Amino acid sequence: MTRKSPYVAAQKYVEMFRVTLASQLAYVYDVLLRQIFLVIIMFVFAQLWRTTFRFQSAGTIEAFSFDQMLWYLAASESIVLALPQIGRDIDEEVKSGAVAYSLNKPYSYPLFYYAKYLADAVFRFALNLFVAGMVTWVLAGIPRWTGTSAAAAVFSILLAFTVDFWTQFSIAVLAFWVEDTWAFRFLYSRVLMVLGGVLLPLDILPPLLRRVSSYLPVSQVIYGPARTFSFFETRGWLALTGRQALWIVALMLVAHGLFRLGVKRVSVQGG
Amino acid sequence: MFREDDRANRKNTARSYLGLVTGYLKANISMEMEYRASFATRVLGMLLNDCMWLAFWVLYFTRFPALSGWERNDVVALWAVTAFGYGIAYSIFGNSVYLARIIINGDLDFYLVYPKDVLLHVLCSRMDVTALGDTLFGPLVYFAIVRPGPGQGLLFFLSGLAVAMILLGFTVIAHSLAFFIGNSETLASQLLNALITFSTYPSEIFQGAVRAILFTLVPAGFINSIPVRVMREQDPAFFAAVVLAAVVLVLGGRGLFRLGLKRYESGNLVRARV
Repeated sequence: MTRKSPYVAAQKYVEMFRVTLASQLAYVYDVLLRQIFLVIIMFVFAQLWRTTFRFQSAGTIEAFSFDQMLWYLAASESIVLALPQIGRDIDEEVKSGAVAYSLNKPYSYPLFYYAKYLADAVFRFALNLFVAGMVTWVLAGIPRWTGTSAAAAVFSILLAFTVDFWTQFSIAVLAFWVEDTWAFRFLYSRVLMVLGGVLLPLDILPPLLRRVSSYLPVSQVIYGPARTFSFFETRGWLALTGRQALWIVALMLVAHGLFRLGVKRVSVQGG
Repeated sequence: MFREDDRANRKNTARSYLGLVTGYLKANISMEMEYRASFATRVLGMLLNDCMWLAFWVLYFTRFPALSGWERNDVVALWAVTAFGYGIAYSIFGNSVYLARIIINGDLDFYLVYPKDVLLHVLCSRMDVTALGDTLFGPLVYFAIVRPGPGQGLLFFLSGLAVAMILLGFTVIAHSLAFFIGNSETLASQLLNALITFSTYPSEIFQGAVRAILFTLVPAGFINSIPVRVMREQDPAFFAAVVLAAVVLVLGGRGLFRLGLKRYESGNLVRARV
């Protein structure tokens, strides 16, 4: 029996990545129209934080100056709005039974979705950061990023997408047992919003809440990478990377375990 | 005598339309209740969503106790009244956010053959079940956290109804653009997003030209000024302006829809509606 090289095995997932990216580019007008929300939210954030800084009569708030705060929010919004809702698709496949067709195919079901997720997320993030960046540039000036901080942040964002994917996947496969996973997916998205640092950097939260959220995967998805852009230092970044890696391993094990158990419940009728 | 007949006819028409709306509402709720677990999770999910937003503001005001004259309770009131208005508008008239798609797909044909008012019939024939969570969230949070007197309580409900009218009127206007510019579904949803986003932030953070826009093109200024101008200061002139804006938007939406309806071309689509 011949064994395929890892390069050949990875080809189909690379192809899935490429096809998803191409389909995003095909609807570029629609995608651009959806960026209006990002423009509005960045404008609203600028007004909110400008008023806050004026009222506090402070140059910095928890080490963030006005421009750093706005660039942090540009990054956090770009990340959160880039996260594809892959959980919904997997949930639908499981509920409709279409998952039975996918299980038959010569690829790993989770990795197939991961390739699709990553293409979607990378495309959306690049576009979001471009749009949010333009608005922030106009409202707050140029960012104080360095080449190193931007490269480190981009690497953290790729790991952040991976953390989010395995979290969403673990939640979605619960559809093998429950009628609807909407509530779990929704809860995750809301925890991500408040404790992940989408709306406020975690530095502004009360100390206990800050400590709790720093251990959760949600803060590794948003806060860690978004903060790295403006406040890069090697030790903190290595610690973030370590935490992200730990969460990826833990969530992968959970997701695979749940998926294997769930697949055993699939019964295929002929016809 | 003619005037009396006219009045009686109008009364009967109003009663008949009220019957249509309540009839659809009952049917929609009983349809959703078929899947009780899903119904409950959606309503509670939206309640939780609003609570998370409130958590953001509570955390914000814990760190920064005042923002340009706004305090924590003002933002609670803002979220409560906006959520209540949103809940009323879209739990009863849930089809309003699909109006552009209905127009583009030629699905208005179904409603045109009925003797009832087309717009009202379209709007109430679907409910957004998650909006029921918003309807609950508003009064719950307002009365539990702000603890208003009876006068403020009444103002809360009246303002909530005005907010519902503003949101609904604006939604109908945005979606009716589909009659004139073709597929405007994404544009309409972005316009509505803009209205809701601006409506849920304190009015005082917006100044200058933006403030002017918020009292005209995207009428969020009428909503996000309610906590301070209506509920706290109890300014009758501003409250009258909010009610006037609500009436103008509803009538404007209705007018634009009727104008557009003259341009509507049937899709000649044969489809079973179950």
